[in-house]
Amino acid sequence: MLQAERLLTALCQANVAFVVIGGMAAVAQGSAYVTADLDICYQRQSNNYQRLSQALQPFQPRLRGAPADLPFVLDAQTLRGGLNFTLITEGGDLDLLGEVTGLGDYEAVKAHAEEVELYGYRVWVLTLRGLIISKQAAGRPKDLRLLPELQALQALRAESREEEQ
Amino acid sequence: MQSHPSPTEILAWAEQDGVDLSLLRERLQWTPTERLQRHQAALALVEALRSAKRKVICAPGRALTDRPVPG
Repeated sequence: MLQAERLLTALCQANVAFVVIGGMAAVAQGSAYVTADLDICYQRQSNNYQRLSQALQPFQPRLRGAPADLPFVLDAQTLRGGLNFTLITEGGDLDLLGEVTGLGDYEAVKAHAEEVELYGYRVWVLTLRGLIISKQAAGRPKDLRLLPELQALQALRAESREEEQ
Repeated sequence: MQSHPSPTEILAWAEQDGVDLSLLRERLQWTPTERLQRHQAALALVEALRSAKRKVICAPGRALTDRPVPG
């Protein structure tokens, strides 16, 4: 089962440059959605490949859905050679995205993110607006189903801001 | 020109779509870490239910055969 705290703590302790996206970002923003995986968008730079692969090493990452005997090593070279990786790890399912549909690469995603305290660490998490843009762009039924709730959260926040003024 | 919908209008549409606003209002009172912690508990429950369902599918007759034979 997903152990988000373990995975996030390991990434933060290794100073990996990443943004929490997808369902877990929606949860952090207040959604009641239940997700079984953690999605992150990672910075595509040499030193970050190194940090990311080393942080995940204890979790023994493997390609999700691939035959168990298929050789796979998640190292800096693998990350450099690919873009998006869907992994199964000892900490649960983890998706590493180099780019997010509707937003772009890490820098573009970070521009739609905010720093949030999670488990004692400052973590970049996609904003509600960023989530709505990415879900609309992805356009799959499971993405579109989440839109009314994300829009409601945005409206509830706007409403409470209005009340404060 | 199309006017931007107000938060009240958006909330009314969301409610029509089946969004539980009271649930969201409650979650917005929690810290992000609390939201993730409660999510983890909900996920554990979902996984337990899935596992129980798998057991029933694997052994559909078990509930009947495990009953004591009336004597």
